[in-house]
Amino acid sequence: MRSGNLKYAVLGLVASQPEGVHGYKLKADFDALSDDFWQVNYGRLYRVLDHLEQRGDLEAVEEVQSGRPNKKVYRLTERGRQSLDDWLLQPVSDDPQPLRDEISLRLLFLRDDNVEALADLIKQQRGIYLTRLARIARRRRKLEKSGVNMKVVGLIMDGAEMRVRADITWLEHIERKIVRTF
Amino acid sequence: MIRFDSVTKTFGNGRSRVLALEDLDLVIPAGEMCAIVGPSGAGKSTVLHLAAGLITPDRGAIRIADRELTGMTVDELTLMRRREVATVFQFFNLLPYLTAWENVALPLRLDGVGREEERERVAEALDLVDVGARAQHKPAELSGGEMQRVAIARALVIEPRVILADEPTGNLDSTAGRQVMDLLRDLNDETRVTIVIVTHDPVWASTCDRAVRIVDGEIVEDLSFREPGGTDPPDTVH
Repeated sequence: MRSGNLKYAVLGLVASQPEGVHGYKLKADFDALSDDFWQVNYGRLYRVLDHLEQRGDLEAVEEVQSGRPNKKVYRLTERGRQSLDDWLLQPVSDDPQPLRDEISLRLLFLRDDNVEALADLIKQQRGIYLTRLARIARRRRKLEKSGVNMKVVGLIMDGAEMRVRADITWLEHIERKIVRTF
Repeated sequence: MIRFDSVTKTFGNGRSRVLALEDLDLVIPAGEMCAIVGPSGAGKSTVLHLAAGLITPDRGAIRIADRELTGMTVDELTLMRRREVATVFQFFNLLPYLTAWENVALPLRLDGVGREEERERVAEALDLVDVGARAQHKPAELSGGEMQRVAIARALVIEPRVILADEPTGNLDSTAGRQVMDLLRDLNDETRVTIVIVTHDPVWASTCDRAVRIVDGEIVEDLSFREPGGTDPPDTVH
């Protein structure tokens, strides 16, 4: 995920928990929501949290825990709410999406003698995409069973699924048009 | 367990002869939920129809629960479909002049099950698929998703070892399709009934434990989606 957007994803997640949230829980929420699509490690997440705190979008309160180190609980500030609203209302970026690099590149250099390599690549890619879909399906069921409100989360997952399905459709299209007739 | 050993099947003869499957080897362990995927005309449905004993192979052996299908008489095959192997189709195949209840009760009546037992089993099956409230409606009064769930109840009511589903979501929108797939997934998770689903949709295939891809009558890919460390079903129950 682009770092600009990560900032707002974090703001959005903090905003969804008015009672405040600590970094560990935030990371867990993030993973539950996105897993391999928006990978974020603790280091990056805490850098973003620090940055948002310095900007005044978040406020952090140290919570004292007995027998364990204190933890910082983050809450959205009025300024943070404004930043989030501004971002939500701004038009969606119209940057072109990158081509599906390797396959597109190979298509450009396709010859009789390397069609087979392309076919292997497509097969391998389809396997990767199907495995990714299986992971989304498992996560969806886990979340449904955990009682999470699926209204919004479900839509995000629908989007992820539709993108992967489109990629698979494209691979099968290439297969039909080129690999099996070349 | 379902087992295909070098199964070949052709349709038609002479110049219009079509090779649907060639020397197909496939093992689906008991308790597995397996998707058969591939382009249309690849032989997916042929696999299902062979497993259901609806058609016979030209060559090779098919076993379900260690019983050889190819040696069975027509009556034995009918009995197998009535008691052990249930089928679910894209267009539901419900009888239009019967209510949902009567459609589900049909296989039990054909098998001579007593009325009291019938009442119990039909009610349970309809509840399981969440259409109990629509029991007295005829198919024309039900939505596509409800019709398919009634068809699944009809499959379940015989307490089958195997459910064979041919494009069960093919005639449903994505919401109803997901409900049907969730239902099949829950059934497999809870009862470990073996389920084989023919589908062309990768999203539905990925909700299964495994996807076998068939192109031009041959298996070209066999992917397992089981989570590492997840609980595997026992493979020799039946």
